[in-house]
Amino acid sequence: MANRFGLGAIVTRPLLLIFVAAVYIFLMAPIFMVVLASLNSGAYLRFPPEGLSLRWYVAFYENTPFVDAMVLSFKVALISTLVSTIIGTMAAFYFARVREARGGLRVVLIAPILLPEILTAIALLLYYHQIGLGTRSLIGLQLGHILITTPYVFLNVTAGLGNMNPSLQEAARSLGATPAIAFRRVTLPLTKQGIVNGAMFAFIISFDTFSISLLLKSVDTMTLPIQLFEYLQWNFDPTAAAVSTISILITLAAVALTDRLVGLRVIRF
Amino acid sequence: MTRVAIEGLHKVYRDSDRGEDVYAIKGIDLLVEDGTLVSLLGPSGCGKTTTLRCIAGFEPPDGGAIRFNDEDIVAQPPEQRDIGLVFQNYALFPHMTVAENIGFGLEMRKVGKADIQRRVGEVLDMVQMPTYGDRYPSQLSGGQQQRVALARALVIEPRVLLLDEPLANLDAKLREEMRFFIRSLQQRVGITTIYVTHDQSEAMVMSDRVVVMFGGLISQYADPRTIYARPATQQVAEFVGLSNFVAGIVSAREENGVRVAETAIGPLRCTAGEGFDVGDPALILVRPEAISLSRTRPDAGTNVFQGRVSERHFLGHTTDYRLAIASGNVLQVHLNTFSDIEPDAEVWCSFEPEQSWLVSPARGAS
Repeated sequence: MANRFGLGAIVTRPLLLIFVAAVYIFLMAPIFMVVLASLNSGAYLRFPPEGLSLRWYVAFYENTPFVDAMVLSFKVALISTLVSTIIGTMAAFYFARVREARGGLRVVLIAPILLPEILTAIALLLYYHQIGLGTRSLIGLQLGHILITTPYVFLNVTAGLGNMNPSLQEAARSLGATPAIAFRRVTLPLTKQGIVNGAMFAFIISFDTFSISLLLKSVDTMTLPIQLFEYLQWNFDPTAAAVSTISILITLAAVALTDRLVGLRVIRF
Repeated sequence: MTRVAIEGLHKVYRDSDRGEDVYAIKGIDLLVEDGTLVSLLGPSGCGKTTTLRCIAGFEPPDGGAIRFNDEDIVAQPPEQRDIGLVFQNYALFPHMTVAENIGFGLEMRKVGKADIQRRVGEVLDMVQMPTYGDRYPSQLSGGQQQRVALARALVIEPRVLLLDEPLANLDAKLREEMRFFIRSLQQRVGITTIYVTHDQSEAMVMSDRVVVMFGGLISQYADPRTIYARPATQQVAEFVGLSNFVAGIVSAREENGVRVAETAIGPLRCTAGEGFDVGDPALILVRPEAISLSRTRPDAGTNVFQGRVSERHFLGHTTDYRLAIASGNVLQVHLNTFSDIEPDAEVWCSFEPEQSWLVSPARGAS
């Protein structure tokens, strides 16, 4: 009988390994191809590269619209992260505490990610037009980003709060802590992980989102994904790959920063 | 030195589903003497935990007073009441080490770093965990976590120690050990302690006095021996220990509180408290270990009747017999495990009047 398990392990192990490897290759290969393509010394976006060079990074740096778009995307993502982290966290605390609000509040708060993003974008566009906000300024775009990033913060913080033992605050109070001190010394440290994870998602989603930006941006401004899309319509040189690689690096930096701050169980399973 | 007095405590919950008010506590008076351990014992929903939470300050009562010595603390928030609280789920702060957990209350009291360190060390010695200061709660077993929780509650030298089912999450053997541990710790420190439990043997072993609660009211408040041998009501008798009841009607009063009751198995002589006049219905309570069995008719003694062994169960330390008697009742009898009475044997039963007790039949019971 013992043999059956041993044999099973030997038979299934290599199959499992091959399967896992295949999934990884399927997921990661496009990213490696983009990175390699960005290092291409040839004039066209192709794989494998014809030689190694950083000339397309220089081309990106000299391409003002691209640099402007990246700076804008970065700014918008930072503001979205800041605002949605505050709103999402407060909503999660309210949600955890107030029982009557439960069903409805949760649906309303995560509706922006339940609905197709393009629908949210169209709805906001019409709404801005109605109230006269229009899309001349960046406010509409920024609000749209905050709208779609808040649910990620809310969900992450709610998950953290749900796991927390409700007796902990009472224990702190019984030991002499006022409600404010109990919150700062016990509740907040224990929700930090959820808040930082939520903020990371908010940043990445905002930096990356396309539909919302496409509809809500003003005529003369571009976020990075939109600029990339426009560029690829007329050009097929590796600048696009260089921009993509930089985007990937910024995303990775956000993840690494999160890991440094709170230790990411999400990525370090 | 704290005496806790509860006077006319009420607590009402609003049941929003049924749209009515539900009384969790219906008026409780209780005096806990300084340095004693008093258990609140009862089934779930009897109001024992609500009472504890009112004392801790997490439930505002709807009426009544709670006094520590002579000071009414009802208006004070929990952090000003100077209590030590131990939870069923330990409630240690998972992001702090054992030493930080224990030091938290001292830190709140603005005790200096060096003093905190010294006192945390002392209390860790007291709970027999001197080397565990740097561990995190997740690295400890349930029993160790509960000892740290005790240390955390005791280190602030609170006026009152409150424990809410602290052993309910531990396995049977550890629970047994911890009972004695908590009791001896409490006696050494001499702290006034209120202990909530639904486990009657826990309450018996640990307490100076036991409060038995049902439906938001106190049924009896007495020392463990009295609760067991002289329960105030049928409900208390059934909740604490195993019971046999034989229904009867009081037919005579004798000296020393003894009554004679006519029953289906003849007249029985029993001990009773106040009341129980001739003609009153009564239930005779006899605990399983108070009944003796013999194969031949005992020469002397009162309360002798016959029965047939219908079942026999080996329990280890005792043997449990089920005895069919003439009234149609089945009596439960516990005998020394080395006794050897066969199932289906006809036996003589007897019990001493002072080892029985009369209670009033519960209203509505047949």
